[in-house]
Amino acid sequence: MKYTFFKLLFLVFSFFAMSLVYLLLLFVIFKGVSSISLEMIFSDTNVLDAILLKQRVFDGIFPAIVGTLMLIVLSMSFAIIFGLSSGIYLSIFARGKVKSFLNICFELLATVPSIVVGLFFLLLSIYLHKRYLDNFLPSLLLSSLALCVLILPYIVKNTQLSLDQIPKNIRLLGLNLGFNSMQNLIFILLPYCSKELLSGLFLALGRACEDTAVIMLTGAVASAGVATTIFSKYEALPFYIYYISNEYSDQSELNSAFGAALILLIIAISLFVLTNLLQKRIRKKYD
Amino acid sequence: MINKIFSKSLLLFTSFSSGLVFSIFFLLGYICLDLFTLLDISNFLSFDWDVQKDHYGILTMLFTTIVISFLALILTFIFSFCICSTIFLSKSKILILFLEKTVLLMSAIPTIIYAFAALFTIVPFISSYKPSSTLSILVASIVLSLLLIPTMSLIFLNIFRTLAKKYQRVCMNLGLSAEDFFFKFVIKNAYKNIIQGVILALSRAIGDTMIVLMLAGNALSFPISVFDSGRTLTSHIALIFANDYDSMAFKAIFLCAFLLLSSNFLLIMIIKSIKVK
Repeated sequence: MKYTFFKLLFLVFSFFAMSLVYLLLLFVIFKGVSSISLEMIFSDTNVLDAILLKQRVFDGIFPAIVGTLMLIVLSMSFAIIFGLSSGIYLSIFARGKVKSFLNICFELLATVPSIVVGLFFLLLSIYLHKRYLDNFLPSLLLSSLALCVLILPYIVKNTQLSLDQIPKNIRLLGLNLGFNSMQNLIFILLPYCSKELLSGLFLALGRACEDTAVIMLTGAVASAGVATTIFSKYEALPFYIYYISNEYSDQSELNSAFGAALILLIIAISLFVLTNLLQKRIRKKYD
Repeated sequence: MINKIFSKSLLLFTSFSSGLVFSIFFLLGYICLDLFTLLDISNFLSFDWDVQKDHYGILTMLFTTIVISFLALILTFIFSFCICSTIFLSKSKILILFLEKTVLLMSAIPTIIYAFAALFTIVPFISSYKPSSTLSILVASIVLSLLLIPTMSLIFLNIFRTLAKKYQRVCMNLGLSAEDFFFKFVIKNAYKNIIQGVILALSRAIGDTMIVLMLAGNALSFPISVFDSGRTLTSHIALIFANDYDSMAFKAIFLCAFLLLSSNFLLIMIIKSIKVK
């Protein structure tokens, strides 16, 4: 009984924090739902024409949505190549001191602030552009490379953990049947932990779609239309929200930012729900 | 043979991606060294940033970064500790589920959404009490504290549960109630992990850009109270970069970036050096 006061205090503070979070979330959802419309997304362009990229959309947030999706897909494809191979190497081939050193490297990489990653790639593009590559200006490609660096540690860690927790009997199964370790990996281990890998990828996707600081420095602009090549500048949802919140002149512009925020929130929450569903299934498998 | 090629190519990818962190660190460090040959170091270690007068002091931003991070950290610690204790002590399953799912959900919410929503809710609320302040250090720290809750809470919950799994039965058999067990045993034994969680949250607080950029006001003057507006290192980087690339101001922000990076590395090293059971 003597702890009732503390328990009450804990409850009050938890509810205060929760109510703050839900206040912010519900505010965005409420404002977004009340202002979102097809016209806001596509402006006065024909919807089908806009989606098939036959006609350019100028005022709406459609280019920003497409830009965010393109960014996610590109950075994800880079991150999968580097992240999966690093994770596999760390889990299966690396031993001893090399392994702990590489682990520390990835831990340090995970703590690099996103704005520093952005600045690094900006610097890289300035140097390389001056000396060797004409095309290497702030662009979709540069942003997705920077985002890839940002989400790389998560994918590496996740791949490593999910390969590590495979039971020993399954690990040895293929080797006993005469597979070499590469075949064992491709035909047995990776399919066995595919759900874990997928849930880690979704988690990383969520991180990639929300980050603003990186894309701000590496090529996102306020109005560029749908990017046609990976070397062009592009629009993205988070940057659009930031830009409007700084520069809005009337209520309709602000409303479109609320719409963009709602769409971004929907993308983030659906990725979160997908991850959770996958993880629930994984838990069933191991129980 | 093919096996060897496979593992070697994996090693190639791995060494490339793990080498990135060093290339970032050394490139920024190299530029900072280059910077000190152009201007005296005392030029940067002052409180005055004025491009016209060739003053590039970054101490004001450093101070603001520290103030905002620590304010946010205190708030987050209170919130996370209360949330985790409630989850641990409560007997209502619905409450536990609600709190746990919300904390998980919070880790998925984009930071820009927090900042954007706070611009229209918390900012007017505070300025209705203190009309002179709109965007301020206080608002930024409150919102930043919400962002840090998942990072800290998940670590706290993890250690609370691990300890409970190991020792709760023993303590119950010795006659402790669940509350006794929590206040007398768990808190005393979890303090090292709690410190780790706090440091990890601090490194996130220092590195965050969007919330402080949108809510702290970005004034260059030295902040005197928490209701003043201030500019942190991260938002300074974000605001300066648009200038031309050869200017001294653009080069000076690499010092900010290097400071951010090295302080984060230091924090991680501290976390690593804390031995946990």
